[in-house]
Amino acid sequence: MTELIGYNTALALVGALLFGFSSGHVGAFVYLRKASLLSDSLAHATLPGLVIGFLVSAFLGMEEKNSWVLLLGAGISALFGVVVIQWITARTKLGFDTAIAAVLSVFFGFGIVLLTGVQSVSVGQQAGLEDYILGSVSGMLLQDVIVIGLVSIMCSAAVMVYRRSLTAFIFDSVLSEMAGYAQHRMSFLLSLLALVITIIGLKIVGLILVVAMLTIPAATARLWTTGVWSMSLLSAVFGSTCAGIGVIISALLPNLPSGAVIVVIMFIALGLSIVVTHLRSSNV
Amino acid sequence: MSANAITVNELTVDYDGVTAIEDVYFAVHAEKLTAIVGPNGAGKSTLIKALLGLIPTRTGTISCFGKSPKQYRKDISYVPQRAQIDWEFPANVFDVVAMGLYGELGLLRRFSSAHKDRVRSALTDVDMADFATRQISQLSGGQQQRVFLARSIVQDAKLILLDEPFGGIDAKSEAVIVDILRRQKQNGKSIVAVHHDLSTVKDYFDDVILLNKTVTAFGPVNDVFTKTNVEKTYGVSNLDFLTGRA
Repeated sequence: MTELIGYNTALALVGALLFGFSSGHVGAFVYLRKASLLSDSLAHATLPGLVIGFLVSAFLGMEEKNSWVLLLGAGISALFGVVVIQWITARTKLGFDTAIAAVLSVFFGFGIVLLTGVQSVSVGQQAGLEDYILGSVSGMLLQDVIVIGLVSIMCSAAVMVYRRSLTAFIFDSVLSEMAGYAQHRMSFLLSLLALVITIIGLKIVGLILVVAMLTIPAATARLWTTGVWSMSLLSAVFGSTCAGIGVIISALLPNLPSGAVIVVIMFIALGLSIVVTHLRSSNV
Repeated sequence: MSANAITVNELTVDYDGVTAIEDVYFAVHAEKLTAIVGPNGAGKSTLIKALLGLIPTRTGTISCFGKSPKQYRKDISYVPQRAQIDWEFPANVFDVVAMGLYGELGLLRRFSSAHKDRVRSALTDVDMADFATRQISQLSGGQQQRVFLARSIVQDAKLILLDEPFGGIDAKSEAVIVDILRRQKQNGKSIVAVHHDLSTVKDYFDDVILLNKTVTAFGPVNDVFTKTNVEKTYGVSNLDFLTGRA
């Protein structure tokens, strides 16, 4: 396999398969909770943190592609975005959708300002940063893949363990509360999983499109299934397959950002599923 | 049985910054069918949330079978209003009833064949056994309500709390549901339901709690559900007693 597609792409493929699986798995619950927009604003809110992380790592004289500092920055920044959304919703008369739109655009805008600043000072060095916006697997290292793989497995494991409580929480929050799963804890767990998926997905799909990983496979799986369990597994399989195909295509055709290719493939799968399931149901 | 299922004393609850119920006191007898009746905005939903321990109370005490709200959670099963549920959720009838066992199963325990049998038996109790694999989006209002009753039965809680179980369903389904509730009562369950149709209170229920921010009266329907008390609760005179319209 490595002879066919190269060591680097093989690495990226393993990362994408595992990440696609867990993002589809978590995404099924995000989709059922109707929290896709929240995930999108969370992803956009990573940009300022990414750039600040980049600056910090440059200041400390680390390699500019040192992904740990960048991802940590992205995580802190997204978390701050979620806190602002929750504060606006709870303390003002503005609605949830307004809070989401405000945070998404303001954080992203601020991130772009920072990014432009960085670009004007240190031309060429920000090459690593753009990878996180549209996704690129070309420079993926073994350590990146190990982290993405392990975290993906942990996210999927968490979904397996909490599947019943998450299902009850989304379907009937009072039932889950009475069964001993407090609503705020379940809500936090789901947000945390979405956040973690977003952060580890930055490298593969990029922050603009990472929300697609959490929603399109889930929406596709929903068309084919009638239960939460089967839906989440099918969503994971769809996510994994599309991410894998996307990475291979983007490796074969250089200069194509992997994130965009993955999303286009997922969209094709969704489109076909809509047509086929529609035809099937109208035949019955 | 004269024991109390619920005892509420001097209960005041604020909801969204407004005092929703004030100085409420009543007792619910065990193994009876009790209705909570009152006009819109009387605080019925707030009272239910307080009984379930979902919202903080300002003053007063609630006890259920002699336990405090935190201890009695597993003794109550709750049947929500149908409108509060997303019926497009990917689940079939069996799945929804099985959710009643999630508290008991915890995170990791396997859903065994004994559990399956309990779900099937609860579905038989509400005469929905033939619908086990039907998607919940394809049920009628009355069937949806029966599925939730089955979920409540499978929880095997001592007290069943229902929020408008007859809202938006036809007369035939209503009769079926009343029948199920009566059988549950015979099985030793205590049942409390928020109810809107004044014309059926006396037929369906043993006891009634008349609520409008405070409790106007509570006790057996024959003693308490009088024209005077109902008019006092609804704040109107010349109430058409049978239809509930002023």
